[in-house]
Amino acid sequence: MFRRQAEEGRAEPRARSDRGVLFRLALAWLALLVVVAVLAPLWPTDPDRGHLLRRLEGPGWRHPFGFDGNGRDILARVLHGARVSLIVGTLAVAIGLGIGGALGLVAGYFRRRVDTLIVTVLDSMLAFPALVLAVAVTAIRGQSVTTVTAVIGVLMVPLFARIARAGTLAAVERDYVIAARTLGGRSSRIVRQEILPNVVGPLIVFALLAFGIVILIEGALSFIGVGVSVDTVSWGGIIAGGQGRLREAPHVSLFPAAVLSLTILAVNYVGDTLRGGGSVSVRIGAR
Amino acid sequence: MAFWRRRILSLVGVLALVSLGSYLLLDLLPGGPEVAILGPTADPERLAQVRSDLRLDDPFLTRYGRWVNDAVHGDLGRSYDKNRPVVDMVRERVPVTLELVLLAQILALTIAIPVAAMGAARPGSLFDRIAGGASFVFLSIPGFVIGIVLVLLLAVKLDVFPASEYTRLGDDISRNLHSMVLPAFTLAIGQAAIYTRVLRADLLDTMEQDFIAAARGRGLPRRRVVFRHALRPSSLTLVTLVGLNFGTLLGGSVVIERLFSLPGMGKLMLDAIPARDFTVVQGVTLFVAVAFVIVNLLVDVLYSALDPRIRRVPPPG
Repeated sequence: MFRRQAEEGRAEPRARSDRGVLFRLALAWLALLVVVAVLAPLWPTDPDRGHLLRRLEGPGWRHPFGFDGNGRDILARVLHGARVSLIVGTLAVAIGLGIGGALGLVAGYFRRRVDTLIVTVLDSMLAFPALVLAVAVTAIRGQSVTTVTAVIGVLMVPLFARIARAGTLAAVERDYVIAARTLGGRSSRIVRQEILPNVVGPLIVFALLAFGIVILIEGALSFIGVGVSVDTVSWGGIIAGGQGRLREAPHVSLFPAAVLSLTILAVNYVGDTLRGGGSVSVRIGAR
Repeated sequence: MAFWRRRILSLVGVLALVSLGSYLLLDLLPGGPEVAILGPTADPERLAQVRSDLRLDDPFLTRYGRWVNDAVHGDLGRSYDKNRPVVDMVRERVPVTLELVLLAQILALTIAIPVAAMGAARPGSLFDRIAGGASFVFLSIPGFVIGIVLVLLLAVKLDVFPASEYTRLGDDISRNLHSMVLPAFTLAIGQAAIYTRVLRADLLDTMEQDFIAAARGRGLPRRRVVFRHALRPSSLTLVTLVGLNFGTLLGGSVVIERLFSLPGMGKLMLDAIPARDFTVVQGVTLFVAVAFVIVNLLVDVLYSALDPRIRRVPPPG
């Protein structure tokens, strides 16, 4: 699964004119989300304040998403939940990109033993059912944004490493790299100045898709109660809160579920379009 | 032979790392493994007692070796919460998860093969485009969201299937299947989307080949050629993917078991967490990881049996 996605990460970007209305809509949704997450504390409704008389009240004019089982405003909670998704998403991708990218560059540049070692370790990581590992680690190390971010970030490392390695393997064959090596250039300089520019593009595009995967895993972890701590508002947590009340109050789960799904859909669509479209965007065991 | 040596070496490496990872889960626990075994509220004397009983002051490698040795002999430790061997608890739960995963795979393939073949028979047709769009959407929507929507529609509104009511396979097969439909379908949809996309792409590649042109030249309709001639040679990637996805599904089943209250391994693991019964968490993790590694090996064996060329070319990577 991973392998497939990692290898497809190399495709050339599509011409700008091909990108249609959906692409712009997806971008607009993501931009809106970022703004909302940054400005959430300024929202007049308190996400933690329960109105006991309005428990499970359906959507209304002043409260478009209605209230949850504790009488808390769901829209306010969804807005605050966006912060967790975006923070975990950004930082976990940064961890994966940083460590995985570096490992991939090193493996692809030095090849031989270094390569074999790195590839074996990364393959072992891929051989672990991601969600099971994430559940085990957050359960034992304690639930917090830090733990969740770190675990998911580590899960992203082999994916980024594969893409960086593939790009590097192709780049070291180029004439100017061979020339630089023959002239006795320092490895660190060659990797930074000659190879990195070739690898950055696919890595960035993949970072977007990885962002979708991370948000999905975070959502799933919070949904089953082993994500960020219970006191932190997260989309998965809000959805789980409404699960037992689907009969009387489906809105409690459905609004945050729709926001989460639209976000992942938008991320995947933008990523897929940038990557050339038509490819399978895959995720790890987060179904 | 080089293929098999390479394969087995990497298997040993992966198993070593996987078991080390599972062992470290508890060993690195704040307070040490004795806290995991007795729980955080145990009194210091008992903690010290367990510490000496389990020889936890031995060097790390000695302890790890002993733990691996026990695990190989079917001993994954005891649950302090239930005071039972972890292995027994896992064994009870395996059939549920296994059934869920198998049903999901069957459902996913049942959906994906015809949809991909019909799409590939007429690429660009309305059906093909709708299937393509739908598969993209279902790839992006999290499984538990799909599950909630299905529960809302089929369990709450229409009351066709139960939302959380599990009957054991041994007790009543038809009731068991009835209670497994929604969970298996929830788990299957995302996989079906992936399989459809992969198989359709491979079918379109195969349709470019000479033997297909020959069949078409004999005047056979395109749809018939797709089903009768192209499907089998196009199924290699799909076979690999189905195998690899057992791991994905084992992970996914944790979420689905929680959503539908199915007493599988995932639920065992999640239920152990509030009780801080970490030997159980560790046992399930190790079991699932090893099962996944073995399934992957079997897929490789099957794959090279289907296509002997694989054995000659060392796999890239």
